[in-house]
Amino acid sequence: MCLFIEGASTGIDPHSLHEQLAGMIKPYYIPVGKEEAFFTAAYKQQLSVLLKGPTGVGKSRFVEHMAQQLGRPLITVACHEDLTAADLVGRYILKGNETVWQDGPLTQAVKQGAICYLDEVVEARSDTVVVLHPLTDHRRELNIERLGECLKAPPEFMVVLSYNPGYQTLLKDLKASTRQRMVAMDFDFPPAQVEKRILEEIYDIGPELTDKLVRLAAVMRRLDAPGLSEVASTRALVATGKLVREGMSPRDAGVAAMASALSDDPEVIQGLTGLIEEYLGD
Amino acid sequence: MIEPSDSPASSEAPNWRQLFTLREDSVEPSSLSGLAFLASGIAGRQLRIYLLAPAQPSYTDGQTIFLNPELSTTQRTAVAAAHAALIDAGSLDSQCIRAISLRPAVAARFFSMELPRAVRGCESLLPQALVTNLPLPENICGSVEESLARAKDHRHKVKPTESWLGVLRPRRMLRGAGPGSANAVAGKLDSFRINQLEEHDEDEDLDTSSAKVMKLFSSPLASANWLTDMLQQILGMGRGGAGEEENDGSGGAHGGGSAHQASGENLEITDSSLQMNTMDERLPLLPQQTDWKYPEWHAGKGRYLPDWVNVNEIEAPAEPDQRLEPCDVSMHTLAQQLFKVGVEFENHRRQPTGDDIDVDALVEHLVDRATGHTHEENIYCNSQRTRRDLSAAMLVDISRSTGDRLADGKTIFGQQVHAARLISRALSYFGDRVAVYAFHSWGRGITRLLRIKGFDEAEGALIDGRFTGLQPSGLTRLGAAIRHASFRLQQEKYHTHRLLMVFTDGFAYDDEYEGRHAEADVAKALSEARERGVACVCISIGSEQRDDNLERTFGTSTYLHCQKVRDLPARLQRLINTALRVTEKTR
Ligand SMILES: Nc1ncnc2c1ncn2[C@@H]1O[C@H](COP(=O)(O)OP(=O)(O)OP(=O)(O)O)[C@@H](O)[C@H]1O
Ligand SMILES: [Mg+2]
Repeated sequence: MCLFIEGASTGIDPHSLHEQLAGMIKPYYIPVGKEEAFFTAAYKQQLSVLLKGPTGVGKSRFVEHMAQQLGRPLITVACHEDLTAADLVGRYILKGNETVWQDGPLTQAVKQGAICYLDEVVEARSDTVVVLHPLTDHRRELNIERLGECLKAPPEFMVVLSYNPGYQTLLKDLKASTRQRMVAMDFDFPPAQVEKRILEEIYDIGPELTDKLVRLAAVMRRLDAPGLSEVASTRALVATGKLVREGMSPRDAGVAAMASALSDDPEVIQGLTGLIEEYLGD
Repeated sequence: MIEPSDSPASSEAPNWRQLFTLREDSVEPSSLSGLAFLASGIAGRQLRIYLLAPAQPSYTDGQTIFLNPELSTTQRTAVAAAHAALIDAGSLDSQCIRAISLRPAVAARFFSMELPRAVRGCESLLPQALVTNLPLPENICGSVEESLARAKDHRHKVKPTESWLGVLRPRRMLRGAGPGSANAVAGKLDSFRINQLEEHDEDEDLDTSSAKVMKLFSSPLASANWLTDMLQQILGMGRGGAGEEENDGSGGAHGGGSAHQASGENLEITDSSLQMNTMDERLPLLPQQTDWKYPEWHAGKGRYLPDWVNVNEIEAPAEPDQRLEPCDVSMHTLAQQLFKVGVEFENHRRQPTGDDIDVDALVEHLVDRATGHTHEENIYCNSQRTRRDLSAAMLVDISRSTGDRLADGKTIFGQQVHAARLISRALSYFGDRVAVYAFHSWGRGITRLLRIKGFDEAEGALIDGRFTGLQPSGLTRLGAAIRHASFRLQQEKYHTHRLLMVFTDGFAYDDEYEGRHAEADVAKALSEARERGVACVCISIGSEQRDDNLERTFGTSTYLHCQKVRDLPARLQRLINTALRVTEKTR
């Protein structure tokens, strides 16, 4: 299980800090549409949010950004199939001759009034996800059976789930009763203009390379080649730009980040490499 | 049972290769695969790039972009991108094309106006350098309709595009069943109509293949009769047909025999359908037997032949008193390997180690300790991969070629059947859902799957009898068999893992189904299955097929080529688990 606790503790107001530093620091997230207003509304109304979208389009980045904007700590849990309810809620561990209770990330988030972000939530088994149910409806409470306790969530506490519908199977899906409790936000690749700003303003990739990368990505995302399940994401473009900044040729960087990384099929790699050369060659 | 109109056939059996092999004047060099990806991305659908013979102008038929080989590299890119843009812009949809197909001058004017419009429309997708290179005029039409109207109006002056940008070939476009007529049947009818038009047309040649296509459609009734005749005969439904065949080795004067005879490969096929006929007398038809139609992948054309193969599934006849050819593997060794296959996590209590404390066990343990008893500290819970979560189907090739004797006197057929029976028993014993099918074929009209064990049937004497009742005969249309078995597995919704194990000697061979075409179709069928969540494992026992052929056929999925069944258990577990994992990733 991975657990990250990020952001400021409740004491500091990173919002004012952000204001102060505005103009001095780079933006962290560039909004694509009305997502910030939407998220803020959900937060104020104590609704849980489901972020849907392909990999590498900025879902995690957006949540981090919103946590910062709202001045809440962010607790991220990367879900996987072995994740148990106890991993989320907490468990007894043995210390010497005694058993000691240890809070899980979800319990910590409830206690701190944090945003709890469950990344790739469909990977978790449905019996695990069910612990969220009483937290995400009108009750807003967490039952900790083993302690015989019931924690009431403060208004600041928020659940955010993300998943990528593209590579999901027909078999793995969220329970209808879980979906029922969410409001959903659809993410897709940012439009060319926004993607250009991301590359230029956040990552200092020059306008010429940025233009090439964005055009290349637009074509790649329209490709429907068999054996190619994921296409060049914003993340892959950023990676290409970073490699170029370290002195790699754009062509080599592109192949490394957008051809070999995406497929193991030699024919697909060859085709992608040729395509990348059309845009980034010499 | 079968829709005759879907199945082109004629009394003079068509030569499939002639129909679908690409024109000899074009080749597809692999160095152009980057261009093909570029074109596909621009058009938003799969396109291929071929080089023409020198001096021929570039054009597209909607599936492939044919390039003049004398173009410079930058020109090639520009032409490929521009023609792909035409497809994306809808300039080549069948209504437009039909409107200009008989008027070359109008077509040329239309091309000159649509090309810039199309390129402008996808400018943001193109490499910047290319956009600057492409000479785009100032005034560009706003829509296809506008271009069409202006093209027809000869008073309107049109600046012709530069000749290196190629030409529009409306009839090739229609023949290629382009984007506007994606519907398969409509596509075929289109090509029929077009071929008629072409007879009095000098600019486009009427090659033999299209002549054949026309013939096919000119006698739909004849083809229907041919097909029904043949099926009745093979299925044993016609009265007397089978009996006559048996006495008459030449294949008879009517029905399937005659059709095959004309195809030139009659000997092998007629011969084996004879065997089938004798066998069929024992094969009951299922009460609600249905036939399935599956497409076949045509690598040369880069597309599917829709509803191409007819598959039927029947219960295998039981021969209870027979024995299987012996084989030197015990069920025990196989079971040991299969125990760890297709399992998922489940929670275990009272474990010596684990992620979580089992509170009940802990309390007991503390009480025991307080009262002076000592016990092992089995006080944890953990999650282990022990929950069976697998549906498996086995597909056994029982074509004639598997009957060949190996050096040790055993047959591939016997070894495969035996291995399948052992695996089926082992998996059923663990509680997995298992089905076993044997298959063989007689041309695309009939690929038969004999159901030895259905998913819902329990192991037992009846199933054993069906195993022993199998006989090698027929040919191997492997792609269709895989598609049907995979379809059956997809209907299994109980489990997370679905596994298809194919036992074959690896010679995919049937009437008009061989060599690279057959290999590519099998590879395609396997990847289709995988995309639908069915993991595939191909096993060849004792086959003399060369490894590079097997590689081409099964290369995209996990396969095992072993000399003896004895070699199988040691590698089975890895093999299956790899396949399951790969499939999980593809999904
Ligand atoms: N709107 C945006 N503003 C700033 N950066 C962005 C934006 N969209 C994408 N990015 C960049 O894309 C990268 C990938 O985004 P992120 O990690 O949030 O993807 P994700 O959608 O969470 O993907 P996954 O589903 O794989 O977790 C980020 O590190 C960031 O560099
Ligand atoms: Mg993420």
